[in-house]
Amino acid sequence: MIIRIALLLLICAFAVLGLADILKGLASPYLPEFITQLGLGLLFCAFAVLLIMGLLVISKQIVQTISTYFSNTQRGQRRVLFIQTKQAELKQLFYCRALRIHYLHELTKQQLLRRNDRQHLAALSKAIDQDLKALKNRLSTSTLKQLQQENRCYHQQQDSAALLQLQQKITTLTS
Amino acid sequence: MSIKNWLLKAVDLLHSIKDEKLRWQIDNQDRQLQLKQARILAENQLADELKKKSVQLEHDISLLHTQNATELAMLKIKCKQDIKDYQQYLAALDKLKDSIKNSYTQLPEAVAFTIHHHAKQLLNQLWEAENFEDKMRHEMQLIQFMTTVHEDASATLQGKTQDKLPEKTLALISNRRLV
Repeated sequence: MIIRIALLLLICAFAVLGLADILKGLASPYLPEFITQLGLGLLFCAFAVLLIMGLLVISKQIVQTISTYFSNTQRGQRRVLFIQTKQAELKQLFYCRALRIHYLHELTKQQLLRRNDRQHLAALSKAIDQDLKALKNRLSTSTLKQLQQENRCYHQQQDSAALLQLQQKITTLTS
Repeated sequence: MSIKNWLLKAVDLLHSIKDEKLRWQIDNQDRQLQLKQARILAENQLADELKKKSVQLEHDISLLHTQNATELAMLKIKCKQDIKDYQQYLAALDKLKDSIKNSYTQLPEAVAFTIHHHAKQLLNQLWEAENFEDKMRHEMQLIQFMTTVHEDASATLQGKTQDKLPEKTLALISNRRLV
C-alpha cells in the first residue's frame, strides 16, 4: 500500500514537472514556477514516504530478529550448546589433571631413583678413594693424583660405567 | 480509444489477479491455519525437548563431575601406592646389597655396585613394562635374581662354599648381558 502511494506520488510529480515544462514553453508568466514547486514537493513527499517505509521494514526486521533470538527454542538451543561445551571442558580438564598426576608421579620416581643412584655412586667413589689411599706407597704421586682426580670427576658426572672402569684399572695396576 | 481499451484490460487483469488471490486464500484458509498451528506445536515441542535435553545434560555433568573427582582421587592413591612400592623395592635392593656385602667380607665395592645396579635395572624394566605379560616376565626375572643373590649369601654364611665372589649371581648377570 505504501509503495503504491509512493509510486503514485512519483508519477504525479513527474506529470506535474512535465506540465510545468509545457507551460514554460507556452511562455505563461507565474504558473510554471508554482507548478514546478508543486512537482518538487510531490517528489520530495514520494521519497520521504519511501524512506519511512524502508525504516519501518528495517524496524520490523529488527523486532522480529530480537523476538526470535529470545524465543523459547533459541534459548533452549543456546542452553544445550552451553552445557555441551561445559561437558567437553570438564572432560578436557579431567584429562589434563590426570596427565599432571602422571607427570608428578614420574618426577617423584625419577627423584627417588636419582637419589638412590647418587648414594651408591658415592659409596663406590669412596671405596675407590680408599683403595687409592691404600696404594699410596705403590703408585707415583702424579698417577695417584690423576686417578683421584678422575674419581672425583666421574663421581661429579654420576658416571657409573666410568667409575667401574676406573676400579678395574686400579685393580690391574695393583696386580 | 485503443489506450482506453488497453487501460481497461490492465485494470481487469489486476482485478482478476486480486480475485484469484482471494479465492486461493479462501480455499487454503484451513490449511494455512493448520500449518500455523502445526508450526506453533512443533516449536513448543522442540522447546520442551531442548529443556529436557538440557536437564539431562546437567544431570550428566554432575555425574561426570563426581566420576572425574573419584577417578582422580583413585589415580592419586594409585600413584602414591606405586611410589611407596617403588621406594620399598629400592630399600629391599639396598638391603640385598648390604646382605651380600656382609656375606662376602672381601667383596669389592665395584662388584656389589654391579649387582645392585643390575637389580635396579630389572626393577626399572618391571616398572616401565607396558603390558601385563612383560610385567610378569620382568617380575620373574627380578625375583629369580634376588633369590640367586640370597642363595649365594646364605651359602657363604652357612659355609657351604668357599667362593670369594657370588659366582652364581655374577654368572646370571653375564648371561643376561649376553642375551
